[in-house]
Amino acid sequence: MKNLKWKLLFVVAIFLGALYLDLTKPINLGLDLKGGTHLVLQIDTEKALEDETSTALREIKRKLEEENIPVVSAVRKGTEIDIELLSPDYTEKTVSLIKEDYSQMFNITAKGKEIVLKMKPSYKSKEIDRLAEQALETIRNRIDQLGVAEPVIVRNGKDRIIVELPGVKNPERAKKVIGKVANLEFKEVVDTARTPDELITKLGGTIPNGATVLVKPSPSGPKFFIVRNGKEEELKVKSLEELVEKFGGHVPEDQQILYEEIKNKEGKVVGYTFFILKREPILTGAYLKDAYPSQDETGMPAVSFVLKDEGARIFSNYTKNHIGTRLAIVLDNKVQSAPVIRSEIGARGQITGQFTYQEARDLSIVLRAGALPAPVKIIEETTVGPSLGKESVEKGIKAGIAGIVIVMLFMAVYYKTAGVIADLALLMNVVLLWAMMVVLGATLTLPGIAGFILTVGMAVDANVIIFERIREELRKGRNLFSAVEAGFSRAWGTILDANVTTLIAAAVLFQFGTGPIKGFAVTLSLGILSSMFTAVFVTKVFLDLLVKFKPQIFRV
Amino acid sequence: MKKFDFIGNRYWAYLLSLTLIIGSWVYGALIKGPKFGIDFTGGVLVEVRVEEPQINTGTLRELFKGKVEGVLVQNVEGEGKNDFMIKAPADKDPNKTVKIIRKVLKEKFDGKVEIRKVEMIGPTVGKELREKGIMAIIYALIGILIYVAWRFEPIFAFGAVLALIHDALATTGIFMSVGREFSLPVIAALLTVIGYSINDTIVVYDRIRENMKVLLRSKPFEEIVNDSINQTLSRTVITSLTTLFVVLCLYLFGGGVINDFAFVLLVGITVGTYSSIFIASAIVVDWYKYVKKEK
Repeated sequence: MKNLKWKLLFVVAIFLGALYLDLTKPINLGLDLKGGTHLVLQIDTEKALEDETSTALREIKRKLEEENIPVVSAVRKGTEIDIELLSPDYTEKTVSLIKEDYSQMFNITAKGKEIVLKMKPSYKSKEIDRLAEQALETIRNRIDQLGVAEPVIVRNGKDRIIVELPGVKNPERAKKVIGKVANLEFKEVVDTARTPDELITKLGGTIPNGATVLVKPSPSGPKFFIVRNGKEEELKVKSLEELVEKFGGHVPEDQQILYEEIKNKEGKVVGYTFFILKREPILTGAYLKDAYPSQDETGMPAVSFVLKDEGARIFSNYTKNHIGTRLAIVLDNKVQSAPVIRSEIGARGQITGQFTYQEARDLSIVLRAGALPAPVKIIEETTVGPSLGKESVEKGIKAGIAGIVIVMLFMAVYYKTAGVIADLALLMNVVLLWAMMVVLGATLTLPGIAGFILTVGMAVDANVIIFERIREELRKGRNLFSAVEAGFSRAWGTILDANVTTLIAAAVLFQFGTGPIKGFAVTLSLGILSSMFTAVFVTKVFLDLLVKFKPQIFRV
Repeated sequence: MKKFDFIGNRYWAYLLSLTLIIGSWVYGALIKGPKFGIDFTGGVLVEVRVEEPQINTGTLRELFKGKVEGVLVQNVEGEGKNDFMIKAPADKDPNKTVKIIRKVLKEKFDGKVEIRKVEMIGPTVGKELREKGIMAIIYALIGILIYVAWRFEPIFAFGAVLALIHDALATTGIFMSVGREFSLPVIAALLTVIGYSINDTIVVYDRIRENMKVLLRSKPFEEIVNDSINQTLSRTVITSLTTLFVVLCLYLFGGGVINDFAFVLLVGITVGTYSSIFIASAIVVDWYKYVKKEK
């Protein structure tokens, strides 16, 4: 008897505690309920690793040239470098030269006059990890600058990042700001060309007699065509360097070709100017201290920047010695503008280039936050408007209340007083489950609401098993007290088995699911746990009380 | 209490189940063809509400002509006639498709359009999710098989998992036959069905095991099994009923995403209840007899 009193007290205490939590603490709502944008970004680590390999290749070529080692060919294939020397006599020396700098990065194998450098898997995975961390940091900075409240930015797997932006108004803008590489470079201009023909001839190539090379704008960049006898044929080239080489021209190892877009008044690209640039930048965005939107002397939107002390020193040194030459401001491998240096420039400068005001503002944000170490691609987006989320919640509540009421009515009618006790336990289950979610900081999603409601229907299962058992025992002629005891003790194993299997399914779901589905798995699992407590323990306490004090009203 | 002869009539149940599974798969998977949502194919889905009475799916489709390839415009089921679903397949750059759709809508209906939902799934992600979904179902089956084998004798585990496969096949068959689309929540619902429908089976098995301890000497196995099914029958039916009540509420009031989810549960729980009564234990009986004969 005393025991029962304590049990009752325990149940009441838990109920009140849970109720207090329900009423005072808000539950975390998933993006599908509160509205917002969920993005999954894939970091193009392969591209970054290939770029690193290219840089290594250039460096190795330069070194071999310095040491007068004759090379037949040295090419990059993915993250591999294949070198063919003129004679095997040089192999040993070459390998040891490469090893000096690149033993960490490559596995080096030599056979005869051929040397193969393969990027080490350990280096790759370390590098991917570094790239992902750096990208995460940069994206976090940018989102901070966008002013989104309570964003979630986490890594997902080795090369993915999940970004959640609650209540963001303009998802396209957010995507643009997050996804821009924003690699800013200042480069020395060697030469410029207005047409492809001019570019090719300037680099030592020759255009066949009577032919001309045309360039046309397209969304993916310039497309080239050769026009001969009035017939147009597209030239499939991956880079401007390749175009020049196709016509016998040659771009020196330390130079590259980039283009500037010429836009009309509507901002549409109508043509290109080509720039032959020194590959090595004078300065990069890493030296920026600040960037902010401003206007150029004609009143057009522009971005002003301030360099860090070290950057300012390099910049003023360079500009002092190169007055009268042109300097290209390059953003993500596109020339933004190429002003002529008129005087020494110190810490402050301006980027112009036919921006809209919004573009200038967003460019300032990404420049301030720093460049991404590798391109990122948005591979998944879910945006839910605020009204849809609200409606989902309303519908969920409606379905939930309807479900609970029907189940409660049914139980009361079918199992009479015992059913009413099961109903009390069911209500407690709802209160308890909500409180558990609040305490554990679980997120309620739309499928989660469904899981919540589902556990209501499933929770009474334990009661049904118990009550059916009690009925059976009563039919066998047992007295009320022992029938209740037998009903509970015999039903327990069954209830456990039945719930464990559902938990297994929920655990698998949790493993496999993304955001909303995970929410479902969590709610379902918690629901099963809390229902085992309420449907078995709580029901037992109330039934015992009833059997003890008012056995005459007990009906099952 | 009235006693039903479930075991005696089990071959009729087998026939019914086979007809249902084969029929629904032939119709749903072969004739109609299964439909996959963008979760699994990759693609773009935009849900909009346009506050203009004249607008319909045709006018919207016209709007995207030549701008978005393969665009599909439908009314949103269960919503007003001003709610539309714009779908586009995954191409090289689905981000751009999303951007174009947003832009076109904004330019045309500025202020009168509400973009309620945008989903974009890249093609690689779709492929990944497809594989993950199938694996999840297999893992769940294996996990349950191990648990049941551990708690019961192996012949029970065999019957339980066969009954589960039966439920999963019949549910997906019916799902495909009514022309609904597979999506992540649908897979979640299938897993829930698998976790749930085993419950009923386990309750029956529990009772068989309990009865075997006392009755195996005096009664043939078939009869014990049939008695056990009858003894647990009201429980089996009533729990399924209470669960079906709430699932029906979800189906009726839950709206869009929840609707498919609830449909799977509705069908799955019904099929699961049927199989726990008519199939799961019957398989154990046949298996038991087969093993005995071999000996």
